[in-house]
Amino acid sequence: MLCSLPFLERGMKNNRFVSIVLIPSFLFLFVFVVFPVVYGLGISFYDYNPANSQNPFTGLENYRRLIHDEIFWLSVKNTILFCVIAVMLNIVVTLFLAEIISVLPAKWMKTMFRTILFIPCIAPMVGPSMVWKYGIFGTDGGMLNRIAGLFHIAPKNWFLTTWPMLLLIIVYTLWADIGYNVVLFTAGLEGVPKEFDEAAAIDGAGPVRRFLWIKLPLIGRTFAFVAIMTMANYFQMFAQFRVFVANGGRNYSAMVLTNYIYKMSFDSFDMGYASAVAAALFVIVFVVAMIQNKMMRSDWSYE
Amino acid sequence: MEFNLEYGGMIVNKKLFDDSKIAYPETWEDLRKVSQEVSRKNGDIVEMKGFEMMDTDSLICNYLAMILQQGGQYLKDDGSVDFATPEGIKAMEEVLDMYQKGECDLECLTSGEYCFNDVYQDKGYMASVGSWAIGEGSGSYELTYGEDYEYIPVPQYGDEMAFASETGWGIIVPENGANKDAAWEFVKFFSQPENLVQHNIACNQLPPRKSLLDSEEYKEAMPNITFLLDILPSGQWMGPYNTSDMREIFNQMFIDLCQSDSPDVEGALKDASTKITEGCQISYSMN
Repeated sequence: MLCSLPFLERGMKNNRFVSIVLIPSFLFLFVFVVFPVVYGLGISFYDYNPANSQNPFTGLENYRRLIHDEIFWLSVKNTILFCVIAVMLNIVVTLFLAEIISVLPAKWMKTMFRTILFIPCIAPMVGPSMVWKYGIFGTDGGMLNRIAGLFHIAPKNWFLTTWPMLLLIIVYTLWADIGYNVVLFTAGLEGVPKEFDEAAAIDGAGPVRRFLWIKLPLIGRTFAFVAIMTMANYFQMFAQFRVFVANGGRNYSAMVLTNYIYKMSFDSFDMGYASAVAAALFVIVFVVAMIQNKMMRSDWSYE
Repeated sequence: MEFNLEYGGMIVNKKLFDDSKIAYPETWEDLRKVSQEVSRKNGDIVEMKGFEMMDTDSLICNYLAMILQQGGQYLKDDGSVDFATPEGIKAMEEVLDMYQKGECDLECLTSGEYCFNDVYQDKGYMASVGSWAIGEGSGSYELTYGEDYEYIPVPQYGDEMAFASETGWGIIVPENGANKDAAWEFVKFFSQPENLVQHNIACNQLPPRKSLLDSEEYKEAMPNITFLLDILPSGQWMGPYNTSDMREIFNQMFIDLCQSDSPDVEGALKDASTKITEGCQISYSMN
């Protein structure tokens, strides 16, 4: 009993130290995350416009309106479609690139490719979106139409299309965002003990089978982290949608929830309703993250 | 602060007109003729535009003026909107014809840009826009007014001058603002006639008060837009609608009509009228 006292004292000191260190983070989290979320949720029960002197309480009216709002449900469908396709493509492409990079013989080559792929992640999404909007998808002088011109195909206004526009936004998002996941997957693949891979090779497994049946299951934790974070992140993608299709595109075919929230807030000045849409987005992301978390739980270690 | 008029004037590319030895159009028929002569289409793009009015602001403002100039009306007594009148259908068919004949394209409408930029970039001859865009020519494109471009009246479509306009730009002071008294002081200062005129001259805007329309200082400084002052008495308020939402519904309908092989103009106008009446009436922002 006497022996354990110094340990207890040290433990209490450690706890105090940890608490003090955590205070700034918790303060930051409270001021910039918890408070805005709660405040936004509160606004969703009002007919709210900050410029108005009176903002009447409307109870659940904004949520009732959601149920009958066609554009909202179209935005939900587009958001889910975008997330499912973009996240799946992102994971397939980044896994493929990470595997290629991880088997490169020289370290400088690995670093070089990782850096090249990571560069688009450094730039804020708005800048490259503008470049792509006018420079690549642009009707007059855009790269796509210039290439089409080489084959004597007349220029096309891509912004008049429905699903192709959403597809182009997915392509842009992949370009802008794959670097981050490539780095994570490369780290995960390099953490897999070489013995497993070598043993499978001796048993006669080819590179594809070794990747699918040995490496992929062993990077389960990295995979789960990447899948959950990318999905949550893609549900909140906004800048490229605002730049490419501010009004949601032809017949709202590329309208997503984040853009709809912005549009309702700052075009229609209907911030109470926009907050209700934001609350719906929060619930969707939360539910999807919970499902993913349950599905991808892994209880093992290399030992 | 300023009266917002998106109808009545157009930026013209003087150099293109001079090089083609074409005079500025003075009637609607002239305008369409010139527009068809000079335009050049390639796929979805009109590489050289004639008369442009297909952007977020100009399309609906010109269309409403075309209805009113025929003696028609789109605002009903009960406050609802009805574009599917004989005048509304005729005006829409005319606008649609401009697109179908390749005088202009939908690029500005889909990208959210203003048509007048095409004129400043030598990609178009004429673009309908408010007087505020005059300053863009010298400010953003370093062009010279009178040499490279000019601002002239849009020939009217119908027999009598008429148009609909939104309100304008102003300043609000929230009741719960932290510096309410100081803000009101600023509003008082800004509202002094001499300050308003200076602001309107600097921004190529129309004065917000009737009493300023005869200001000699303004007329002397802005000779190129005084023709807009003459048509102001022929205007009406666009209506008790959120015009951002109204424009969006209208523009989507127009794009659909342009993309349809057999456009049902009357059906589309009826549908848009219902959507605007039901979904765009102002409630919250007038409190």
